[in-house]
Amino acid sequence: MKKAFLILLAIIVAIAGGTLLIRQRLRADEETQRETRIAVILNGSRDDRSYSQSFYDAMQSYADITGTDVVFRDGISPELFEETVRPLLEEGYWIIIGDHYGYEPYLASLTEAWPESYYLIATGTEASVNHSSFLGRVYQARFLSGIVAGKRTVTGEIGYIIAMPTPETIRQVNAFTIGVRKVNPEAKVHVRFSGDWNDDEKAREATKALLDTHEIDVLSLHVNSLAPLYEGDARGIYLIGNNYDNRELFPKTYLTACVFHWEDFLAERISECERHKFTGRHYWESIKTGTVSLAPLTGNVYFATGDEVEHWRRQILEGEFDVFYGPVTDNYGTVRVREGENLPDDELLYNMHWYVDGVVVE
Amino acid sequence: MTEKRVRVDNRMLRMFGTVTLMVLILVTIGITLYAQVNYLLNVYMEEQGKKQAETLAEVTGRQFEGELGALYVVASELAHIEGMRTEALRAIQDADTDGRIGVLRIGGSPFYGEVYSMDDYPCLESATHGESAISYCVGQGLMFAVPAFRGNNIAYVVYRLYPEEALFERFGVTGYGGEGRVRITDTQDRVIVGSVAPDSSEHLLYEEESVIRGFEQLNQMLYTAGSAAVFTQTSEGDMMLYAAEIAGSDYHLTGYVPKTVVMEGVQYISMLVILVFAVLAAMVIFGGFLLMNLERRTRESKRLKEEAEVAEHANAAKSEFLANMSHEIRTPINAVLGMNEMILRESAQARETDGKEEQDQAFHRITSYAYNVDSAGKNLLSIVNDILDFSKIEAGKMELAPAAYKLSSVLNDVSNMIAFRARSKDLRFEVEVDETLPDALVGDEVRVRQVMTNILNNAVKYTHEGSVKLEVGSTGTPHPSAPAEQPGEVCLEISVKDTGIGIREEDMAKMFSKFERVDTNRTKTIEGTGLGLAITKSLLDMMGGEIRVESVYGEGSTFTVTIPQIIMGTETVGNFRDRFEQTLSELKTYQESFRAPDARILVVDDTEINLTVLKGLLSATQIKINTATSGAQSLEMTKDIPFDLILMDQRMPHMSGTEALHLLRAQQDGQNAHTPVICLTADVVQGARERYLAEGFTDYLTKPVEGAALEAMLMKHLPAEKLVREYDADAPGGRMDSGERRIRRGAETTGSAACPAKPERDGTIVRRSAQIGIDYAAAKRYLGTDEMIEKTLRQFTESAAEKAGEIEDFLEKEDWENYTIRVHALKGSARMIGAAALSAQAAQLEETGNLAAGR
Repeated sequence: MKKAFLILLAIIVAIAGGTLLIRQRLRADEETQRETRIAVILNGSRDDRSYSQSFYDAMQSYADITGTDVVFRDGISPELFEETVRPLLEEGYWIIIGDHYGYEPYLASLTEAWPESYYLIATGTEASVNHSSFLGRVYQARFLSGIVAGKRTVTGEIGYIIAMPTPETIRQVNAFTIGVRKVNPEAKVHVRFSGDWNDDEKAREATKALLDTHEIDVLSLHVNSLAPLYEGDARGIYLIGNNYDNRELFPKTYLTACVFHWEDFLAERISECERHKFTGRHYWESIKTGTVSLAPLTGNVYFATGDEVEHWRRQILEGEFDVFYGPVTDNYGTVRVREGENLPDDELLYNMHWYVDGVVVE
Repeated sequence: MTEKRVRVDNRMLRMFGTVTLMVLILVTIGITLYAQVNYLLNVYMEEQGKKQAETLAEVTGRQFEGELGALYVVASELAHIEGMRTEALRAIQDADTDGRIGVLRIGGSPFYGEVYSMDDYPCLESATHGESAISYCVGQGLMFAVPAFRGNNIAYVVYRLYPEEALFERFGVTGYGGEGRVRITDTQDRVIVGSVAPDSSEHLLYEEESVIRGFEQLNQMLYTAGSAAVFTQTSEGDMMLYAAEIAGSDYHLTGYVPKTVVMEGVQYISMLVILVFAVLAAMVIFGGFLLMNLERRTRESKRLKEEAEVAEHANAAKSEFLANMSHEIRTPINAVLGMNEMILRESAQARETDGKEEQDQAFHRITSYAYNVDSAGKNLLSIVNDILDFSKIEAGKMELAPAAYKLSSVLNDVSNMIAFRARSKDLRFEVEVDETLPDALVGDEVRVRQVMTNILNNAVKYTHEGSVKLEVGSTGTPHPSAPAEQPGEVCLEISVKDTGIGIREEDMAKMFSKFERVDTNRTKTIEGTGLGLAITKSLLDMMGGEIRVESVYGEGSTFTVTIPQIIMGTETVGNFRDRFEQTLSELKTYQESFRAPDARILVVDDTEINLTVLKGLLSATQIKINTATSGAQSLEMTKDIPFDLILMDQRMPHMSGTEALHLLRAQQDGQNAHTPVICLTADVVQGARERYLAEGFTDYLTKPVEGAALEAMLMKHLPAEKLVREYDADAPGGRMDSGERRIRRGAETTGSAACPAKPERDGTIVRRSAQIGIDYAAAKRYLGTDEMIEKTLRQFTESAAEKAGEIEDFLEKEDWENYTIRVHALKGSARMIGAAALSAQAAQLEETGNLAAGR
């Protein structure tokens, strides 16, 4: 009798116990606030006084101010991206900042394996659930730098060294030229391609060739290498830098530069990550946010340039003017943008293969 | 009994504990189950909530899409109309049904409608760059902006602005039939569209900690899913929070709904589950109790069975005993009746014969028959006494009656009796008595005698060849655990060793139990009630003594009895053996007897036979005996006839002995107002003597009346001058009681053999003794023979001076302890020699001495 009773009890216990096992897996448990750990992957080097350094400076100062754990990896070409980042992810770094669009294709496998990680890729164009890409509207700074150049040039010949023709580089030299033409309708911008972003020798060669060919008295560039600047400086030519303010290097000839101030932008993005408010999208920061800007003018600029620059800056800030507001004519004479029109971003980003009037491609 | 009860309680406790434990387990499971069911239902509800949110979000998304779509339509209109401003304006106006549409040129100047800054509405900037967008300006409203393309380029920005107050009218969403609150928020959690019909407490709710955390959780969940829902506890009860992305925008649809709304109807499921479980649990508990009950019942019945068995066994033992007793009692009764018959026949025959020789022979035969009757009667009496004793002990009414006695006397009587019995079985009987044992003791002589007799009888009974040895000594303690003997106390150790059939080890424990006779196979033929040892043990317990047995089966046993007794005098038993052996060899006994031919007594008894017996018993004393068969008759007689003594039976119809006594005493001018009346009664319970004395009787005799006792009583109460003392020197074959002797003497007198003339003693000794303050009778009673009296008296007087000196010494020294002891001893010894007065005085001194000593 007692046995039967115990068996009955055991059955009840078993049934009850079984029901307890029916548990749905809870997804997304309470997320404890985790320590922010950032890895910055640089294509160039942290002291290249150029593009990559702009990221290094920004993030280092962020780390210094906030005390966040930030690590840097230099000279990471796109192929090396994955193998560089994986161990970092394993170590517990969960915000990855990369400075090259070439990294974007390698993100997919990483985001799958580490769904809680976020990626901010500069110069990229894609976006996904935990990946945002961002650019600054450098062209706006370029435009302003063009005004400086246009005011400075006496010969009306301005040199411009570009790594290779991409919508980005073309866009920027177009913006530059539009700026030049605004204050110097007859000036010309001579463009030469070095063929490589970082190669100093190639850059120097191109610069030499350009300077030897024309009576250029103002030089700007769109390469990471500083060689063109050295070359121009040696010849006493005025310089407008890019990515980084190098006026200390060229005290006599440096005019200004298009520079980046990533701190605020990145800080905001990082904050969004921390607050679980990350939205994967493409950012194109305008000059309004200060992410891109023209470095302060040196004493080498033509006097009253500052007022001019200021005037145009104000126009942009207030939305009354943007660089590619019409009318814009290409260097074949075709009207690309009519009065009262604007080029849409898509065009700017992907379809700019034409040069504005005033650009002379060598 | 208590032990069993404790055991039962323990069991009950354990069972109860088990049931309680099971209940606890079930309750725990029940609670867990309930929690689990609730959890699952919650999860289900959350899924449902998600879907709801998705649906609502979709609705809103469509609305947004619609807005943008409408604007695109307007924008496309602008694309076509070039330069024809008025047409364009009209087209726009047509579309602008609510006056909220505006068109801006590139550069920000208005083409139609209001101007708004890109700072306030980033969507304008976005549209300028070619992307339609929605932006919200806090406090102002929600703006939808689209680019208007002309070719590849953007020519205008078309917007529609919904002012703050119009927002929830246009976009407000209700969920759950109006019970839920829905909002549209941006990624920064700014509310764009508030809830339809917000109530005052709503914003407070949104600020609650748990709600904020809940929405954070939802935000997280929205990264990987388009919708999310979660239950949260709030101050207003349990709420389900939900959120969903609004496609095509950066906005989320968020909201909450009370859990009760969501769970409507679903809670019955959990209720049902709990109910089923509760039913199951109840069944289990019920089953448990049934089981408990069942166990208890079986246990009860087992116990009852056990008890029944025990009772059965006891009953069987008692029945066997009764059957036994029946047989035992019937046997002597049969003997009595049979023998009596024989006597009647013989005497009838004898009357008819002529020859002297035949007559002699006849008388001899009759005599032997009478002896048989006597023996049977005694046997029967002994059995009945045993039973009576046993009943008294069982009822707790057995009491000891301590009095002064002589140990030697007891030993003497016992030894004589056993010697006789042993002789008749051809067994050797040895006696060894410690000479230094004190002789004058205080105790219940009868019981001491009874114990000794019992043991010795057993020894003789169960020994068929060999010897029985009696050893009497003293030991320091009555039994191991008792304290050592007190001063003035001796611990007798009586040991009986036989070479009989022995006792088995396993039987030893049973021996002392009532009704049980051990080793019935071998002892079947031996007579006895089986109560002997049980009674002995009880008596010993009462006296503070102990009994031990050692035995080797088949070889013999030794019974050792220890009894503490109080010492009263300094005499020792002395050389008992010599005396005893002398007695044995001589087989003479000094027996005092008397004749009182001048005395006349009245015997009152309603039973004729008893009268006859009494007359017979006293025939040798030549006392004149009158008889009466009723109280009334006796009163008649006492009026006229003066009696020296009246023997009055107590139990008589119509008038009891006591009544008769009172009436007798009340008789005026009766002859017997002061005659001593002796009560004859079978009532021997405690306090009887005192009661009878209180009622007025002078003394009492127990029935059946023993010859010796009767003679003693008469000697005591008859007037001394009428008593003629005698002693009989040649009673053959051990000690017999006076009855037996009387008969023999009677037989001899009527027979041919002439008895030698007995010296007659007149009452001179008595008178002479009385003159010196000695009660001769008392002395005779205590000391037995005249010789002893003489010897003791001499001894007493010799030591009197010395003793008196001692007493005076102690008195002077005020040593009350010793003084009292000496005086006490004096009391005893004085009484023994019949110096009653002296004894009484000594008693008084003893009393005061006790007080002085502080006792």
